[in-house]
Amino acid sequence: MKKLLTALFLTLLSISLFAQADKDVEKLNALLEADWKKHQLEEVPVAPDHVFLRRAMLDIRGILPKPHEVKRFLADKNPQKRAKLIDDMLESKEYAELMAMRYSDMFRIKSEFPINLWPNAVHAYHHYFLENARHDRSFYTVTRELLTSNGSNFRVAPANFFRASANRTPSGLAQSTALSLLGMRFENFSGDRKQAFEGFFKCIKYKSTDEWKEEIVYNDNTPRTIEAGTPDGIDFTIKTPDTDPRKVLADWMTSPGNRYFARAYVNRVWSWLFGKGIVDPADDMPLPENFWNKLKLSTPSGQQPSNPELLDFLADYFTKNNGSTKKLIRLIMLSKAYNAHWKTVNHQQAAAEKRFAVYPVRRLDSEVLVDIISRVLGVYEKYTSVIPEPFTFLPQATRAVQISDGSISSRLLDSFGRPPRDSGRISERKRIIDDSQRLFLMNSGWIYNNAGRFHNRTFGKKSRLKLRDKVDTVYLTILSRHVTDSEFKTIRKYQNDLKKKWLLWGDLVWALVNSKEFIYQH
Amino acid sequence: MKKLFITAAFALTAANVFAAGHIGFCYPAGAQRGQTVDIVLGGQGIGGKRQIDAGPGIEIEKITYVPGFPVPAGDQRRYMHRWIEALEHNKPRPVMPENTQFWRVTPWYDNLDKLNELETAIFQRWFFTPRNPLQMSPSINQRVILKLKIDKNAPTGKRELRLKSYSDVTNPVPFFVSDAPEIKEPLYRRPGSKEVVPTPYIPVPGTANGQIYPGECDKFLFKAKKGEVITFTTTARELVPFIGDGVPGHFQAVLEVFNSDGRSVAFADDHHFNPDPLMVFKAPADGVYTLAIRDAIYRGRADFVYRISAVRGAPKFVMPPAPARISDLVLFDGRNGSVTPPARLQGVISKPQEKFSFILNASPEKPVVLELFARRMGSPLDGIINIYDQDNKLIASNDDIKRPRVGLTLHNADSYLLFKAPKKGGYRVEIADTTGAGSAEHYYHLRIDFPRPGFIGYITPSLLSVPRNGCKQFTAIVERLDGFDKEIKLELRNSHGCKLIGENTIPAKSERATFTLQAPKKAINKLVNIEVFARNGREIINFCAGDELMQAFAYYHVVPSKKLYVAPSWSWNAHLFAWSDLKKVSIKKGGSATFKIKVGNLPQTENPTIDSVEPIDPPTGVTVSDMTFIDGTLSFKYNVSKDCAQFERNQLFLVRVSYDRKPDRRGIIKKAKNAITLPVRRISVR
Repeated sequence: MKKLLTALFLTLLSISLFAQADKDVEKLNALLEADWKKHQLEEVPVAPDHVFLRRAMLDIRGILPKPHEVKRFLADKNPQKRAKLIDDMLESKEYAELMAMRYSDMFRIKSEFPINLWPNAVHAYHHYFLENARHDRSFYTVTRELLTSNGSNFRVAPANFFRASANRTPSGLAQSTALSLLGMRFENFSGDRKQAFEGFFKCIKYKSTDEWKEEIVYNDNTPRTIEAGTPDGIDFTIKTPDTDPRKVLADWMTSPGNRYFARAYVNRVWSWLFGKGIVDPADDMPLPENFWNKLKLSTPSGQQPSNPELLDFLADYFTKNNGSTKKLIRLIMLSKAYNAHWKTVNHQQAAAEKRFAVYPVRRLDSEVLVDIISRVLGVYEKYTSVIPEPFTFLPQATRAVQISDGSISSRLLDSFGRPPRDSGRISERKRIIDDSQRLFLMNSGWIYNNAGRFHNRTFGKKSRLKLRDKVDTVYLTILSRHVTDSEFKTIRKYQNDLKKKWLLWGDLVWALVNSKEFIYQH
Repeated sequence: MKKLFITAAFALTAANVFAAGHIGFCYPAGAQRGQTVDIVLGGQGIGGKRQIDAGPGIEIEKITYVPGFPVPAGDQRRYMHRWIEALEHNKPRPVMPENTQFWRVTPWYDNLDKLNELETAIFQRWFFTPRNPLQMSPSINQRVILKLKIDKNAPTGKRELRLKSYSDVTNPVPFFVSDAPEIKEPLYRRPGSKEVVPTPYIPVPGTANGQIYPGECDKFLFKAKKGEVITFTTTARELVPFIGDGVPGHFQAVLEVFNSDGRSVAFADDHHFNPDPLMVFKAPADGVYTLAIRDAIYRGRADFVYRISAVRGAPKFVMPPAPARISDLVLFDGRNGSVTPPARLQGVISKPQEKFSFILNASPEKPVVLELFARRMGSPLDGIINIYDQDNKLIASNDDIKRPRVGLTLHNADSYLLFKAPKKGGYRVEIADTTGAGSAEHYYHLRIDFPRPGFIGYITPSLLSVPRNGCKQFTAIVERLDGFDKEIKLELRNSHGCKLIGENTIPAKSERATFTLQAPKKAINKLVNIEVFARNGREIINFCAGDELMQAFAYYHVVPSKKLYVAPSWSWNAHLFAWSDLKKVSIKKGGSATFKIKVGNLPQTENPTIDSVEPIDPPTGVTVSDMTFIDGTLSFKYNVSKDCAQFERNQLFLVRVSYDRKPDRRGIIKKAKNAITLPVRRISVR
């Protein structure tokens, strides 16, 4: 009887939670629709299942779905299948790895110049974010830990927050904290606010040990009085060492009433899923209004949100759900904006992209693109670092997304715009497609030679599958969809014209890898 | 430039330690008693030694020297590859080509079919690993395989294992003898091998041994029931604490546990300040789990050896007793009262931000020492001592204190304060962790005492190869305690006729000094142990032997060992060189002093030449010039610049000579070089 009651209670609880979640999606959609209506944008159709599957997989796991996963998803008649897909993906290990990569960009996880975290600290710090993402630890809790931790860079991972900065003066730390956690440009603060914000970082000290590159972050023991203040004008007089200025900052930052922190984070998550934020770029959030702004004599520095109500709603949702990133991502991915087709009527395309009435098309991130190319070709780059001795050799088939250190890269990753993590700015990541990338994709022997091996690797040398089935598998693998009749007709004719029929496969894989449909997130 | 630096740094390390052979690693670094095991030693200069010194109950049954592996030519390499494949498929040896005149000939290359499993694994790992000149490490390239028999009644625990010959001994490496079963990771299999090697199960309780090569991740299986607790303790850094030609200077192991679905369910990096991880694993469900170990940043090399011990249950923390130096002091709990020295306290900073305070009764006439013993004993506490006056004003504070780099602890986190009270009264003393950490294991012992000046001494290296007709330098390092700043005179015990020649005191206020040990002819003709001590009043302070090892190309650490060995060696006509006098020399800045060396009749048939006289590690601003050799007297000037800092030290000098070797088979005479150590001289600059 007790078990029955417990099961009933849990069922009712989950129903109510799902019901609440559905209501939140409805509210989110209502805000989007209101904005589209206001700007007279036509509602676009929902993206087809195969498009959504590929889009979601790449945004959440950084990998392409396998052919059988595509088929299963397309065949599934469950109306909640998209929600279920999102839930499953959020529990995958690839999700944690992709989020750790994003956090690593945000918090400048790099062993060498100019950040100089050093390899062991990079490993510890990256692992910290990996575990946080895996267990969906509240970002409020994580932020508090980052701001208040003391200890060894090797043993206390969040202590690296105050080491992952090229400039470790109070001014430099204020700048990196404002950028990472508030999405604000410290250099645009007014003079008095700059000085005030720096005050929180005046007690931070570092000491070395005899272990190579170990550094311990701790607070200055000297009793003194520090004046410090937040960007929105709240000032504090802090007596150290009884009170830690960083704790005061952490209290302000993570208080439920602090909209700046929540807005900055939800905007950043939005930018991860859409390629740009509601405030774009996501690390140029508007500064708190000053005296002149309130008199409407000037506008606050920073970019303005394209949909302020949407941003506020997401910030409230994030706060009410105790800083859960997974819930936030789920909410956004169930919205009409994320499920929208990428194309609308021509004259509205630009406006629709700005307002998220269509899904904005963008080139895939460098790491994700290199990984999916590697996956298709069956060969992975080898990542090594010659900085620590003996050298670091990442295991075979390590995906680029899994690389913890910003100092470990490759020419391929760099040419596709992998951020160097020198400043932590979003602009460090390049998503433009340029001629060198095009030339590589078209002319690379690495791509073409391995494309030619696709058939035997996938089907075996003596496969008796029909041509249609094989071509369909190629399309499912590379483009995550079935081949269309007209495409198949073209391919069959192409093969008939070839003297050596087997050359079709290398050419086909090469052509698909070079297609926009493959290279872009859409 | 980098290679030059590496070579130079390596040469400095090698100067003392490697002269007699150096073991870089021992794998596996332990065995169960009652077993016979094959262990592989990697090092340099370890050939030719047929005995071991590893404590009671361990004997060598067989010793195999692994020959060098010269790089084979392309056709020889291809032939060997085919032969290896033929052996795997039980096929006959391939026919050799006719022309093999340029092939490298070694015992193993010609007998691949006669190698046992371990030898095959060693050879194939070398053969199939791409050579990278920047990853070569001569210090661990040589291999020796020992078949050791561990007696079933051998005492368990950690030993020091050394290879030795009649007149030579290597450095010690740790070796563990245990009661519980031990396994090794599967032997190396070449790339492309079709052999399926099952992942081994780690015995619980028991130990798994392994090595991590570049990019490797070793895995072991274990079964656990839901709620079962198993503790995995890694020993890695303790086995090879300092690597001179690697950064960081040790293996940084991480442990991870995966469930049967491949999901990570537990992870451990360090254990407090110890880089070797300790994981207390509580199984979330019944099943078979995979325990993985790797380097934190995927490095690897042969001396990245590890032991993972598995026991059921969580470890129980027991606070260690007070160290011997303060055990005679009265224990005081310090609560709700004041402490009058001498006394000692013990406690725990049990939670973050916790501080412990008590009142210290002090007066200006009697300075009080407050000394924390925590990190030195293995506590994670990063102690800080603050003293407040009656107005609650901070008047004294200490966080870390500089100590000689001795042992494996890399952070001298224990605080030390010599407190001179401004006036008589009670002063609030506060003990805390600098970083605000705290837990049940953040224990400490606090000495509250009047100064007891003294010192702790170390001798490095732990093997002195003394020429029978010359002398050998060694270094004495002291940690001066409670302001002890006097000269320290070294003496020998069980000297076997050896004596300290030249200066035999550590200068006042110095932490280290060089000495020379002389072994007159026929004094020793085999490996012996001697002891070095000094006196502090009536107290005898024994100096501990150790080896100064380099870490990460930059830092030096003394790793203590149990014995100081002296071995006879040879030096070219060292007995013919002697100082004219051994007086202490005092030089003014900007001045110089002339030193004279009497040189006996050098064998003219060998065409000897005195190339130079060098001071070893002279301070900045010191140069040597005007060397002359007239009528059997070698003289030179020791010049001190005006900018040179004041110092008083034992200065070591080497005389570098070259002479003709005996003609070789073809009658060619080549030059040989030798460096003759002269007794140290005390030089002071004012």
